[in-house]
Amino acid sequence: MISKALVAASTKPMILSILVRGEDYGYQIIQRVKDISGGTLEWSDNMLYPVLHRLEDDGLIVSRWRLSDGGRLRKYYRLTEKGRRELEVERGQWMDVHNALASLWEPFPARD
Amino acid sequence: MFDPEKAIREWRKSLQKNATLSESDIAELEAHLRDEMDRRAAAGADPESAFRAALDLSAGPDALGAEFGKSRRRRGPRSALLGLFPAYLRLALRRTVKHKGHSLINVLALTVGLAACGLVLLYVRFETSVDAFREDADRIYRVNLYRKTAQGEDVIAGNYTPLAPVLKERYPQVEAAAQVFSGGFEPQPVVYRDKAFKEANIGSADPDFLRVLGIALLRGDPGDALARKDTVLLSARTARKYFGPEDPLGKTIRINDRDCEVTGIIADPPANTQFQHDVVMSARSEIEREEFLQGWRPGIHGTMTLVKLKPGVDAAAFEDLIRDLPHEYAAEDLRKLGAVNRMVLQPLKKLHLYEATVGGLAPSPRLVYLYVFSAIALLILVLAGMNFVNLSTARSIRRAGEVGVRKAAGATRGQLVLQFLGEALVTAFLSLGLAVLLVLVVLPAFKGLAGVAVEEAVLLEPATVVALVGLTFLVGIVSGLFPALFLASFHPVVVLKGRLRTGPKGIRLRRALVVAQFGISITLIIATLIVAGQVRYMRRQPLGFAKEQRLVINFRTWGMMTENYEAVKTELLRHPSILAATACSGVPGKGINSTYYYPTGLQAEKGQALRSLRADHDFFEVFEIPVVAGRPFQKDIATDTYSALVLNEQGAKAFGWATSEEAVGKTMTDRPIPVVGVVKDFHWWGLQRPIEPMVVRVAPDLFRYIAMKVDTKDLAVTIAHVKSVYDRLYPGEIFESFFVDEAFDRQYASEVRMGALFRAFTGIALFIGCLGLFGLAAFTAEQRTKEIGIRKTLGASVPGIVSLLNREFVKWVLLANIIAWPAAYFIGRKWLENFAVRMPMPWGLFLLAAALALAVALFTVSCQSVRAATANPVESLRYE
Repeated sequence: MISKALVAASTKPMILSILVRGEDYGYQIIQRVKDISGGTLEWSDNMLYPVLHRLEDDGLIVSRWRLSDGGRLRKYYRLTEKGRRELEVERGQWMDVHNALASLWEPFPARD
Repeated sequence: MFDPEKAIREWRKSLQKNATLSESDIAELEAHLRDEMDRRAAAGADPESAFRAALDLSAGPDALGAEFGKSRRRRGPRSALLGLFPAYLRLALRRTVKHKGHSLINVLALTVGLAACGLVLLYVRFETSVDAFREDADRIYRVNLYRKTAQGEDVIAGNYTPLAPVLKERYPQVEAAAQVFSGGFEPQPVVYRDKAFKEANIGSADPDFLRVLGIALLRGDPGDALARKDTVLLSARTARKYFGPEDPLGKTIRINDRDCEVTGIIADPPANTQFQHDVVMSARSEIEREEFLQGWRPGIHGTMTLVKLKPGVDAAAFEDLIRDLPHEYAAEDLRKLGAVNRMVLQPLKKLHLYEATVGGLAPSPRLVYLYVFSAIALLILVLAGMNFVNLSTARSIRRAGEVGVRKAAGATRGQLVLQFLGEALVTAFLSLGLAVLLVLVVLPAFKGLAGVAVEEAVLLEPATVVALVGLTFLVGIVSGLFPALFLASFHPVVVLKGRLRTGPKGIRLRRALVVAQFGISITLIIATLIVAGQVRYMRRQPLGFAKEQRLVINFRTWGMMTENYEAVKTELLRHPSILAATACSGVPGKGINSTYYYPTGLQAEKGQALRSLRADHDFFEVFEIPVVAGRPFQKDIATDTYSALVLNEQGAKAFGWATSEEAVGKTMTDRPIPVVGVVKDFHWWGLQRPIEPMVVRVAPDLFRYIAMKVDTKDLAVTIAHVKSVYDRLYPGEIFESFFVDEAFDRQYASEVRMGALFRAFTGIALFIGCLGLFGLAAFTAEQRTKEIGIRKTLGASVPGIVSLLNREFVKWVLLANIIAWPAAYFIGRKWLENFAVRMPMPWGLFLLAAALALAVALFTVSCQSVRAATANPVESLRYE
């Protein structure tokens, strides 16, 4: 299980990274996260949708209602230009953290 | 029993209790829940456990509300904006909710009006999208053929078979040119192993067919598709139907006794195309087999030629270039016939809604229907708008006080106008929301009624949304403007002193509007009755032949009984319920073509194509068509088979013989063939068309129907007998039969459909008119409460008061009739001109429509009048 704090922190970059690949709706996003994490990340509805709405308020993503083939009305989200830039910033930060941790966990610790 | 829909409704209700969740949030969560349920159901869970599991995954109403609320609080800027949003709008919303009755009538009427417009909009969008969606549709044309002879001129969709290859070889302007053969008029049998299918959407074409229309080849080699003979392309759905999960490529299917190899799979044709091909055979087989398809032969024009020009090519200039091709390739034949043949281009985008005529493209009935129903939908919307104006001004007295107070408090006229306009817009957009829901609900029924495959998704297309929102905005503004200006013009001192009465201006306007509303409704009622009356009239007209109790066996193709048709008939006649039988090439309403005939020696002067029926000696007896001159065909005269002909009266006239007797004994063509008799005229087609000149000959090689006069007693047993005879004589063939009257009446399908649509729209118009009247009557009764009270205390009876209140409305409705009648007469006469046989103008219907409108109006108004008249006068007078 991944800690609640870490899940919360990673939600935003995760959503942006999924939407950069194309328009998607809430349920599908949860399924994708579950798939790519091999099941270790299971988001719930009350966690995802408020975040989506916040991201939309911040202008990082936009939404629209669309009728799917099966006749179901779904709210689809799409990345804006601002969202794209924000994703780059996020990615830089996460890569910094990742690199720092990775070098700390080298098999032969770098120590003077 | 667990009902998932009910469970979801309950769940939704629990969410709605939570104030932080908006309707949009709930809709999103519901889609989420349903997706999860679907996934579980797909994995094998039953509905109840799927629902429970999906619910377990959800956080529940309280947690959701809390989380959503947190994110909502952050939406500071937007809420502030909402606060700045004109206060009028909030005021308008509050009013709309507070005055439910008044709002309800307006919203209901506008909803219905907008829904009617929405439906028609979908219909229009569908009809105009037919084949226009194709890539490069602007560069695609059908090459029609214009023909002129001494007898007349016409334009046909078919053309010379070798045209497409010639166009491709000779003209660099051409990107692709295709030959397309239709598959005939009837479904063809297709057999794969032991499975047999009937395919209606079958045809043949050359390889350019895919290139011209941009039809996607999903599987198979594009270079090979339709190139070799005896190959076939199938649509994806058809391939699935035949082969299931097996690989369709390389499979052999048997179409019409020919083995064909499946070499490709094409995309399923969408609903909005004329080219509904499920099975496309290579045209090469057909062309190589039939010699008559190989040259530029006169009169062989069964091939449709489609051409795609290169970008930038001027179509008109290209048309000029190819115009006289027939005179280059078929010069000899055309000279002999004294004929002129020309090429005419018809754009792909104008294939569906226009018809090629001698004078150029003309609107087809489809386009006319489109106009008619657009007009009616707009009329209905106008009616709803009138209601709005009507009720709003009528209620102005009630609001006069409000206006006075607001003005006294310093509101400007402009602010008040804005407020009232805001109210109108709120009503209009509220109605739009409901109208969209209404459209979704009634769309399936409408599809059946209008006979089009409109899709819901079109509603969400930007163009549709813009059109609907624009229309709603327009209706809101236009119908809101008058009441707004009217109300805002009140003088505060006058209204606050309570001296205001609705002025003569307001009353006159309301009367005019009610009269107009009923005028429109009555016109529509009469139109509906005329359409229904004409269809009934056509069905009852004597057709000149016996239509009922005639059972027909439909043979797959010609030549199946050339030699033995008498023997087949004898077998059938063994059953006592089969009273007579005839073999023929067509039965009324079906299967007849034209052949070129002329009196011997007079080819150039009198030659013409006329309807040509091939039938055996018993045809006239089976259909009870009397012989008026000469004799019918006789079995004991051998030359009657192939070498004698019978005309109908029109046929005799067409060749210039004054009487039927004069025609008998004359000969036709250079062979020559004698005319042995003339039969009384009878209708081959529905009564939209006049009776055409006709030639009948006994030519067994073209027989493909056997028509029987049957006794309707034990019909099932009779049909079983017929089938058993057929199955014994034609093992492996599919038995198909129908009744002449049913097939014949199907020709009126378009009129029946038009009638049904008219009925629906008229009902809607009348409904809206009544809503307005209802509201108005309520208002009048309320206005006269005191008067009624005084009258009652002075001894007036309830019926007396009711009639007093009704009198005014009756006057208006009668006035509406005077306006409606000439309009309805004009429209009705115009429509009836479409029919060769039309009913006399039904004046009774006009009276009926008037009575109907009056009855409906009286009923509506009386509901209010009676209530007002039976009220206790003490109540109304104490009100002072």
